[in-house]
Amino acid sequence: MIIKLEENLTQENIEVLIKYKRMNPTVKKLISLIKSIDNTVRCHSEQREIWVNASDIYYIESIDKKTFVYCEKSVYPSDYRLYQLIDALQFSGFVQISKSCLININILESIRPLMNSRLEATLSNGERINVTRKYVADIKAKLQEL
Amino acid sequence: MNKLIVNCLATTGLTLITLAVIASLYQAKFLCVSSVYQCFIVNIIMHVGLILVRKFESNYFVIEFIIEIGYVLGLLIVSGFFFKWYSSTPLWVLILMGIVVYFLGCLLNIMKINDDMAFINKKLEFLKANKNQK
Repeated sequence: MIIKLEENLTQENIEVLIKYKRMNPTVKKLISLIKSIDNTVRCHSEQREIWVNASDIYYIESIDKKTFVYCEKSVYPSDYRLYQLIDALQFSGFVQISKSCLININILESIRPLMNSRLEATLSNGERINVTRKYVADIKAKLQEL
Repeated sequence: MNKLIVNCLATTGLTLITLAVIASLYQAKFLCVSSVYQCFIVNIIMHVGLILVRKFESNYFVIEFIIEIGYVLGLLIVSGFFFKWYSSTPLWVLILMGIVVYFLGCLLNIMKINDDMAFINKKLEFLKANKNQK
């Protein structure tokens, strides 16, 4: 792959042009990766609306039908339902790990079994969250995409 | 779909081996062909039902376990009436068989998950090493 960079002081927005012979999985992956950079989630923080970049999100959890977005040091409530975020963030490296939790695969450190037949994921900030066995195949598939 | 077929065949195999062991204890010489088909049918119904049962998720593992094994044993008991197994096999033997096959199946599942986890951790380490190189 050839990457050409061009600095232009009159350019307002970043422009990306992908030239390819035929559309294939690599080109599709490249498109989804570029699109994911601009992917944000609308949240609330102290009565005001903020947009959190998908890459800054560690995991998203639904508790009592309310959705919470967890970043490295802060937690923000969001109006979106978990199923909406599953679709919106699928190309940003997010994968479902339990009925109520989505994780950013890029900040996943390791995974280990627990005594009660559940699994535990350790995130890069040391936080640990439960994983349901039936989602292990989804995590594996997501990692294979990377 | 592939996974469902593999699981059905695997547990049918386990059921038939358990059945053969128990039949040997009763001095039996052979298994009827109809029993093989009946086992296969019950295993197919069981796995299709388990897909629905496993849609239920609880924060407590014990609740999920009770529902799952309850469904498995319930289906076995109903199948026993339907296929007239109780004329040759006591109910407690059927329940014992169900429990044995269920736990053997769980054991196989744990082995598979351990393999998947080893893959996941290896891949994560590889990605981390790649990131550090950059």
